Amino acid sequence: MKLSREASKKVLVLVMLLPAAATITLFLAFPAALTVLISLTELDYRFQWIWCGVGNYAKLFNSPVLQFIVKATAIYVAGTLAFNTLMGLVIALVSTRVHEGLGTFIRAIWLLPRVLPSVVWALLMMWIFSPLEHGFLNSLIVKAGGKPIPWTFLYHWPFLFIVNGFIGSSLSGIVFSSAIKSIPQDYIIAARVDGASSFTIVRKIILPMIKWHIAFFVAYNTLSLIASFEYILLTLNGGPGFYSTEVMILHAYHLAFGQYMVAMDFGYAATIVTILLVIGLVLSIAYWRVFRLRRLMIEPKLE
Amino acid sequence: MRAGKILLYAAAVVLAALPVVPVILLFFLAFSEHPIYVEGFTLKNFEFLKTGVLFSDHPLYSRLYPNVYTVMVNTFLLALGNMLLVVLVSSMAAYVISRYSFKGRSALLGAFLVIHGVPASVLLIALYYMLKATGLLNTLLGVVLVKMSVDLPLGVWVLKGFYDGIPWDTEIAALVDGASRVGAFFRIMLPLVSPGLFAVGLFSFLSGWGEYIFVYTFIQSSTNWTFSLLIQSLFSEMGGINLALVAALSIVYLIPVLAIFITGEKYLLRVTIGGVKG
Amino acid sequence: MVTVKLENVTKIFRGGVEAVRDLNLEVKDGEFLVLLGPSGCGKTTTLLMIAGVYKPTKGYIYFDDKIVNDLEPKDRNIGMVFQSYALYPHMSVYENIAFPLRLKKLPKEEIDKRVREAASMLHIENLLDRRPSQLSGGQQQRVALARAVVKQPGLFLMDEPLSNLDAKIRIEVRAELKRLQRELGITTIYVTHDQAEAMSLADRIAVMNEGRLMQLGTPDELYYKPANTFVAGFIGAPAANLVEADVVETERGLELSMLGTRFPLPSDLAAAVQGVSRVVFMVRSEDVKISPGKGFFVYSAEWLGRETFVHIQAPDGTLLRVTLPPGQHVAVGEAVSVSFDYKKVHLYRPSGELIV
Repeated sequence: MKLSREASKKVLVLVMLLPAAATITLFLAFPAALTVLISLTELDYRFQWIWCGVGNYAKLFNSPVLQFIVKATAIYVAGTLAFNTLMGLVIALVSTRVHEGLGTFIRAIWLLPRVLPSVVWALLMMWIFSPLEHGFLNSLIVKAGGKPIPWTFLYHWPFLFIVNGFIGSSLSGIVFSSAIKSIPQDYIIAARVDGASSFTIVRKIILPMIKWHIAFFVAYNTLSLIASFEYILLTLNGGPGFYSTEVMILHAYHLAFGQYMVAMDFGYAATIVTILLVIGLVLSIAYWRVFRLRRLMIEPKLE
Repeated sequence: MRAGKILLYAAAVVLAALPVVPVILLFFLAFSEHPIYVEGFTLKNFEFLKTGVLFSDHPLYSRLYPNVYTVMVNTFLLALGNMLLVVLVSSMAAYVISRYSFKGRSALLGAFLVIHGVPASVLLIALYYMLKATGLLNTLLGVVLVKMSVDLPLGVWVLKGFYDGIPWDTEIAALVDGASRVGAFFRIMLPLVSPGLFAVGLFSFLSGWGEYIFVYTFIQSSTNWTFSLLIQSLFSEMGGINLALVAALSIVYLIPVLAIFITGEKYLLRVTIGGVKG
Repeated sequence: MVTVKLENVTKIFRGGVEAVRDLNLEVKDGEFLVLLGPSGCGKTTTLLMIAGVYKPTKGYIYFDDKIVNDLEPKDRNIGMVFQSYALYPHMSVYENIAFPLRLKKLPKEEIDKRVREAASMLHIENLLDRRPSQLSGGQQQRVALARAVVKQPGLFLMDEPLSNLDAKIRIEVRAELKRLQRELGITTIYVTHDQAEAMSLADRIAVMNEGRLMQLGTPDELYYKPANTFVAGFIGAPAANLVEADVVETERGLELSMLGTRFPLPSDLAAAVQGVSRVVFMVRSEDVKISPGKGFFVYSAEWLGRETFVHIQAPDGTLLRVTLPPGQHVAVGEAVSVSFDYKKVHLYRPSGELIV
């Protein structure tokens, strides 16, 4: 039987879209909804659905831990964001002003930490900044006659900013570089002719012209940092000491999958995750409006 | 002017060196004679490659860890599965989204965008529950399915960009020349986005190869371990005893990563940029 | 070959944009029809509907006597040429030309024979092994033409095929195109925004604006009898003068009050505008005569080699476009008086329709 034109188009669209749509629904949308549901239960290692209403939320807001994890999250997001943005600007400014080949090389080489398996990058950082004597930096200091420095104890936040920042800066560096490269050379030449110094050119011309790119990166990066914890888990794991780097999502992870399944407090953990999900959703929608992402959605032609 | 230029180039060289130095140090450590310091040169840290057994001279330790080759195969299966599924599913979906006008298109695109912005680790609890309920917990298949759904939105966005880059006229020409819609897809569109398929393929291979959280959370049985789990476990348990071995193992783990990075850097860059635009 | 008929064809896109409205058009067998109009006028949409890429929202498209609304592009037996050439970059020139034939699953020798025939017809035999990216624009467009010809289509569709070419190459390919169409006798629908191109190629021209057909006719008809002010203003270079005028009754008969002065109307025109108070007066630049006098001034003059093109400033400040016959010269600033060749003047209603 020959299908009509509309029908055959529909079949084509459906068949080609179905795997993606099913995957997204099944493994992303459904779990998101499920998380919200779980947050309303006392689900634990017995895997029994015991509804408890907003009990978990009440428990969380009365928890003495809450202030620690919120503070840690704020420091983590703000610090990493600052590192990423500043380092990205440095990469972009330097790599667009030096010889073209060297510039490309710099941007390329900064992708390396990003493509390295997280485990390897984390172990490298842990080894280099290890507080023990055999840590790489300390071994150098000891060789030079100094005393080993307990890096990760003294400077745990800067350490985490570096660990995460080397991953994030590749992104900001690339975004900002391409923005700078798209500034017409005429502006720069005109400013030079007017007698502006390199510093003035950066401050008065380049930065204002890429401010939307910076804003976009900050927005985008905030969203991903709020719910990311892989590198903290792999390095300091919430320590040193009492919850010093325990960000919210890491706390949720510990509650759910912490030490040897004694935790498995899924219901309570899902509460924190739900809050993060809501924040993420609100931010996404706000960005959607602000950055007018709708224009990415020009209607296509084929019928 | 002159001094400024020298300063600029000095900064450039430092910038270029920063990300590579740790990796170079890793190589030194892997070939080090001393188990925890960088010292001398030896191949003995790589002896496990002969049989795949770690600590083969130490009966107690050697039983703690799975065979390296089993781990390698597991890692490869995860990476390959992720790559094939992401490329297959996203190449079809991105084509339809790029080319066809249908109800719910912008909703779908918006969904891809939002999902792609939020790290999927927030879904771990629910996914754990679902995998347990379906019996996929502790299996590589379960991890592959989760991993590929997480990488899918990026793949769709990047490939949509590649499809968008093919002029309408080219596809219309194919239709007018006598190709069916499906024919035009296979004979014209797919060959023309092959750089995109390649880029997304490389990216999702690396992404699967390096995956840690999902494996760590969803897999307990050591026969299903991947490199990331083995290395993390070795580092936290044996890091003070035989760091050089961990480094050597990491080098083996890194070989495909570095090979892909060096040859396919251009493609990975496209995915990174596409991911941000999306 | 094939005749194409459009019956009340309307295209509304998702989102409500009405690209084409109530279009009726018939293209005769073997005819060269040009769809002419400014960008966004719906001409390309019309072409893509005929190609089968779009489906009309309303109305019917006939090939001969068959409704083809639901026919896929591949089943319409058309050859199409694009502004961007649309060659497949991953195939050699040979494979590009052979592509439509391979899809028809013709035997190898047959394909080879026809590819070489088409190539020789367009003088590109020596390019067959190259990639499209290694060719110049003119060569690429020849390859695209060969690809359209090779399947022996019943209908050619061309979407601004010359617009991306340099001026010199454009004229060369244009001639080639015309020759090819004559030789093969294939019905052709050709889209362009360039009126000179339309005039030189077309048997008939369909002028479109804002999704509607403004006038359908031979180039002569469009030039000498534009059906409305849009066509009058669009066809012809330099553009015709269109001036709003009041019709006033005096003891000497009807006069046109315009340009800050008055012009008495000859009796035939006067009869036609009886009872009309406002008109649009249209005159082509070559039908304006100037002579030494007063009231008007020469604002600017450009000598074009054969004739001189001048702007004349009217008493109310309006600039009139005037082409002087060879031999006549004026100086900028000179005072002149103006008269019209009333046999070639047209009058329109303010809404645009032709009165006379």
